[in-house]
Amino acid sequence: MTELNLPRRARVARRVSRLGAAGVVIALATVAGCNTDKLLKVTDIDVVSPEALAGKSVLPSALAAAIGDFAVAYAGSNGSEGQAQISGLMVDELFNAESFPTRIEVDQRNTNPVNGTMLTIFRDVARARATSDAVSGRFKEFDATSRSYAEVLALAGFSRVLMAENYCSGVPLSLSNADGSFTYGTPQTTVQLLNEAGAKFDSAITIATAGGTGASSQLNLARIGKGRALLDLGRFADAAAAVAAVPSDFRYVIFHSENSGRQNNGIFSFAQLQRRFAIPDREGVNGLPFRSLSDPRAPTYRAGIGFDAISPLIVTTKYASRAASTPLAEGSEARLIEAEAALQAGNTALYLQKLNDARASAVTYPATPGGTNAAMPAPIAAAPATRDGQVDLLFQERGLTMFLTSHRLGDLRRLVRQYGRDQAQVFPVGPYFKGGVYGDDVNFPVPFEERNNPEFKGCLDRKA
Amino acid sequence: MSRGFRRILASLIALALSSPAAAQTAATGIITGRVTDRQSQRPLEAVQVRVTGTQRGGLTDASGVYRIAGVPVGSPVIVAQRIGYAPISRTVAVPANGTVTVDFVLAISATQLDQVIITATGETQRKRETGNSISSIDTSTLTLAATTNFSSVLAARAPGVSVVNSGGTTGGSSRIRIRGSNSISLSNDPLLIIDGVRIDNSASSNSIGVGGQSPSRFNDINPDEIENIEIIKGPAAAALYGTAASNGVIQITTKKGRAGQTRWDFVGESGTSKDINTYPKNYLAFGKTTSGAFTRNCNIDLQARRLCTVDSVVVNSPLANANPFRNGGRRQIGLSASGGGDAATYFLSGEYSHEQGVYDINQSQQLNLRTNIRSQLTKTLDAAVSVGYVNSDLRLPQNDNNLLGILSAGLLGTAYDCSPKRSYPTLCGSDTTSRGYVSGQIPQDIYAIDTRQQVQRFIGSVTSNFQPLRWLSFTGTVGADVDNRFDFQTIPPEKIFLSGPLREGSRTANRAVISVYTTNLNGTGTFDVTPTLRSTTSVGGQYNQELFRRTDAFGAKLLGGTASLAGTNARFAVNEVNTDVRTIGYYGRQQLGWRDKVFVTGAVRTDRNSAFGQNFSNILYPSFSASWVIGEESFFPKSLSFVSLLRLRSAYGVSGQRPGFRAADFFYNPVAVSVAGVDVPGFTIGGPGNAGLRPEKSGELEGGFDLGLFQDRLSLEYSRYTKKTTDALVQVVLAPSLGLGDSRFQNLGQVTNRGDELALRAAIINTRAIKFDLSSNFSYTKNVLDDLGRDSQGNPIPPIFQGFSSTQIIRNGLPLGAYWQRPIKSFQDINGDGVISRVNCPGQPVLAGGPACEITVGDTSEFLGTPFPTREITVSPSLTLFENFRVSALFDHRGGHKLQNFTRSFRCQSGFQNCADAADRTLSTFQDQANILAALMGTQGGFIEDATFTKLREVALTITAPKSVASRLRAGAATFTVAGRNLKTWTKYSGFDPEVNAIGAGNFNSSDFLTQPNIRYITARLNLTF
Repeated sequence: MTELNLPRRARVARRVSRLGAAGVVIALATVAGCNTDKLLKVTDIDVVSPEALAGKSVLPSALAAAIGDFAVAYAGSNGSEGQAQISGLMVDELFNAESFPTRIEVDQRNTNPVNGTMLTIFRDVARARATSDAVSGRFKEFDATSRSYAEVLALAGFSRVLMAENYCSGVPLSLSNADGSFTYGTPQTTVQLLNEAGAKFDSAITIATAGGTGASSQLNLARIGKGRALLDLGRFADAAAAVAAVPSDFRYVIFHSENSGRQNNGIFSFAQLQRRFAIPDREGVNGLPFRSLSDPRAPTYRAGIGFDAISPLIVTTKYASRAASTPLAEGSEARLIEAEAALQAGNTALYLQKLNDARASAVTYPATPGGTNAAMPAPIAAAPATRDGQVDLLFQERGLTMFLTSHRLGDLRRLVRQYGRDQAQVFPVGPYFKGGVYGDDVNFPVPFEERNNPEFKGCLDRKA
Repeated sequence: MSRGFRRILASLIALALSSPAAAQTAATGIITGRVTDRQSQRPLEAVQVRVTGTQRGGLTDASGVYRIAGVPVGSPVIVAQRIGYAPISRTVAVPANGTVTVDFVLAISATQLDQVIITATGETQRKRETGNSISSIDTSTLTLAATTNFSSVLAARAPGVSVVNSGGTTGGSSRIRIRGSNSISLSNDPLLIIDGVRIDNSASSNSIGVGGQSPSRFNDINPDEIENIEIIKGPAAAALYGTAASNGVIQITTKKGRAGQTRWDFVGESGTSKDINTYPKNYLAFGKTTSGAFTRNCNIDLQARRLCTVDSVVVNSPLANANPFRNGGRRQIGLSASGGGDAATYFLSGEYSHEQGVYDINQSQQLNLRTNIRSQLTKTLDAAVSVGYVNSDLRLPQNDNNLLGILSAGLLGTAYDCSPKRSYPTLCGSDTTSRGYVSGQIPQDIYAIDTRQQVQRFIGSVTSNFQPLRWLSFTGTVGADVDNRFDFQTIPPEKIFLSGPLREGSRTANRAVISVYTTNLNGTGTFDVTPTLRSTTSVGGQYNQELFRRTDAFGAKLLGGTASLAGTNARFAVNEVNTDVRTIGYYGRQQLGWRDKVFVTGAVRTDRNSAFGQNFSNILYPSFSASWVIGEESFFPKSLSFVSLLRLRSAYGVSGQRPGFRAADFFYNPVAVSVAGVDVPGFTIGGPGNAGLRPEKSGELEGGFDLGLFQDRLSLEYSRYTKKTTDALVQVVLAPSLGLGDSRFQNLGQVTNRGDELALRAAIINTRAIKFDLSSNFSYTKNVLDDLGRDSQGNPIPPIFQGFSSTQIIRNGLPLGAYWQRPIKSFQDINGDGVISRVNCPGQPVLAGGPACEITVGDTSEFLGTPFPTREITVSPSLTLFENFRVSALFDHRGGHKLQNFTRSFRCQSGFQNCADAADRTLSTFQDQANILAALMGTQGGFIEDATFTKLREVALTITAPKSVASRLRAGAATFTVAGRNLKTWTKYSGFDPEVNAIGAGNFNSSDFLTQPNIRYITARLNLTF
């Protein structure tokens, strides 16, 4: 039987069958002959590859990367706390007004190395350090005289200062290499970290000095950073010398924005929006009376009730919005460093003068939201008669002037380390208001997860 | 492509093109006949009659008649089967262009050895031919009235398949595990295939959190559209499915049309649901401190430490003050039509369902449409088109780990009601609205938050079989699952006052398109090498693409009266998520069947995947299986006449799971940064990448037997397996000091699952008047992490902590996600004051004159249990009277696992401290007190509780109307079912329900934390056939 003799339906069927056969052949041929590499090639449009970030043209974005990571590490975001809040929580600047055990144990001075909240916070500061180091390397390669280079170096120094002041001795600084391998850092003592910070600030000062007046902001930022590191090292006179040229009205702030959650001021967000942290008054016996003092540098007001539905939510107008900026270095800090150097040198008159200079240049805030900035109270008329009194006044002035800027924990540790006070005399102690008693932490442990660094076995010591 | 493979393809192509021969040998005939029940002699409906080795087949109609056209001339084996009956195989001589009549008489049987299953290559084969244990769920035998969604259809139906509900939220998900968890860091959800097409199997599919629960894409599937579900349990059976199948495969076949007159099926269902729990009240002990000051929290710990004395204990129940519960309900209505002729058959269906949860705003509605058409295009070519469409709208309540949550706000609320009595004006302050809810508002106010998910999903496939030669066939499938998902949330302004941003109102609108594309092509040649030896050879290829595209948008300060981004005025935020993962695989499979009693199969598949690291090319998945129906051998002892069937089987296979998209790449994330007060573009580290990343491999060895006793009245299927996952992708936590992301995937770990499975089916009584069947499943699963791996310097990877309060751990030697806390070693009321105290215990407050330490907790953390049941036993009896009344039940027992009762822990020892145990020593046992104190001493050990339970999961009464009654309804058949679900729970667990999870379908994290417990359903369903 030839095809022509077949009924029409059968002919159609045969054609369809042949079509099927052809389909199979084409499909198999396609599979056999196609370039599977092309089929497997996908594009990723959401992220940036390292290759896309090469060259000089990317330096402005790289500067933004360093500043952005430092901002999150320092003042937090709407998603995580920064060093300014978490260090304040451990000392007397903040107390816990919510229910999360991971934050309660920080407030209670009993932080467990296994603590998800603290892990994120440490990652943020470690990232700020790593990013500023990496970005400064790019500037060194492509624009070694830029004032931005000095700024990034200063941020690299401040990252180390934050680690030194708030964490135990033994924080490693590790490195991710270009080939994907890791160079794990060995634990750095607090002194080593501060010395490294000092070296970063020195480099920044050198570059900014060469940059002339256009780089004065970066220069003064680095000077204050260096003075702060030297103060932590107990080199009071050197510290005063480092900051001597900083104008009293100098301010370097970390900017925030409502633009994205990552850019939000975390101190505001966690206190006033999320209602997790509130400002205490004489927390744990030894705390400063932040509320009672009603000081315009750290004004407080009640904003309802905390997340735990019990705690009064006392907050500050210093950070009044998501976009409120967070001071990192101010001229008033330079004067306070000089005042402390004078105190150490036994020059009470200069001590008092510098304290009042700091007062005069300090930034004040309104008593209530939307109000006008209050005037500074009158200058301190006379220094306390005793050295202990002078020390107390100095640290109270520092506490108020640099309220919630991640200075207070370092200061309390210095009171123990440099002024010989017992930790139980300076940190919150006694019964803890959410049950139990205060612990005896004077710094944060490096998170447990750092044990993924084979060089790290734990803090070298937990001393002040 | 290798030269050898190309040669094989070339041979096949040459064979395919030999069309004159093809035309000659591909002449076809028709097989028709009638199937009846041996006992009753009545016609049997819904019997599958199939030509083995092909896709051809049909279903019997109400008269028991079937018809299969286009059967190639020759002597094919025809199988008639229906669950509950012994399948019958017949070799039939099919004449060219003629019709052969083959009638079948089926007998009740508990064995399923000749049941036909669909293989990974798309072909059919009888169970006896495979060395694996494959479970089948025939939805026609289920009482669907007792199920609420697809997950509940799977629950307790097959040994080794564990379905754990995450709670009683309508639209919530379930955690589905087959033979335990394999993967440390990747998904453990099984692969889902509908009519040969891979589909999105996200068990947690949402972009807007409501505290813990999220929808599952599994539940888009309408159980009424399903003809059969096959569960391929692990790599031993799933190797040919390749890089996606290591967690097992759930393969769904939707209903097909049958030749004959159009048959109309109507289903109508209505029912109620109810929260059946009694919730505790909130307690606080008011008292005086040592200085005489008022304190509103003089709990047992403070009392024991003599820091306060109790004046009064106040009690309040916000959940009673403003009761958020209501009776829920289900409504469902559907209509399907099926029919066709020799050339084409069709199945069309539409079904609408609506479920009202036990909260006013928790609602789900779903429309499912399906069109399945199969056409015999020519004698050698057929095509089947399967199209499913889902349109759903789900509104979820706030709950679980969420201060706005309904249970959360009530159970964490105050112990005093600030209105209307205002007995405690000082404490209440300006609060006149909270009624004790910690959110400051009653749930009915919080309902103003509108959180929804709307889905429009298309799942379609075209499958074609081409048989150019009697011994050669090709099967091709192309298909797509395209899911348009719209997640949105509207918070109207001035409605929610918990915080400023909530008060301002906001709108979130996230639109996603999730697509999965599948292309399969398979060729199979079947030869009778000798009269007793049959060879079946298959080669094929597969291409899959998984695309995810989502655009997120947010705006705050919403204008009242609007519910759109257009009405927002601040903090605008946008984001995109785009991922694309592609897989290409090739496989070959060779089976030898000897005397239809011994079957040996070997196969291998190789895959490449776009998510593999650039330093890794392709992976090989081998498999091997053997099956021996020894009971049919002539030498099998005749003295064992009670043994009607015995088969021995064994299988080994490997399959895998790919890394996540981008996991292999080093990348930065774009971010905005404020520089000098101006928002500028910046970047931050995203992922560290790993260029050597390869898929994790799961190899499984299984063995077992199928045993039929007493003329197959009793059947047993036993399997033992060992599944070892090597190269397990571990999300290795990175040392934070690197300044990179949180973790990096590395192929490091090894996980082993071992288990036993037993399925028992018994037709105990089988008379015309009474039938009593019993089916029971037992499974035991042991999961252990053998090794978390070592870093580049040979140091062990440190354990990974998970869960609320880091109570769970990934650690060598323990089950994945094990509870890991310091245990309570002992406690004793030494001074007899009626309360356990922690004073004077090491590291605890010192109290001069106080009792000696009364509680001891371990110094180090210990393994306290696994969150996954290690044993599951289901028992399902069914009694049928006079063929018209059927009563069935399903008992579901799960045990050997623990659950963190974080609800109780949080109420008792967090900042809220409002549980009775903490406030009033007379209401608490010493154990309760010890649990609280241990938590204050830093361990959750006391709140990790035994979660063993037995549930009366389902009871159903089905009445099948006599034909005379049905005809009065102008129907051919009518059944009416009344069913109940979640009717009774027996457990020692102290929480509301041991079967909840505040993290939804999370991989390992397991906790009862303010989660809506499972609810009880009572439903009635009417099925009519016209």
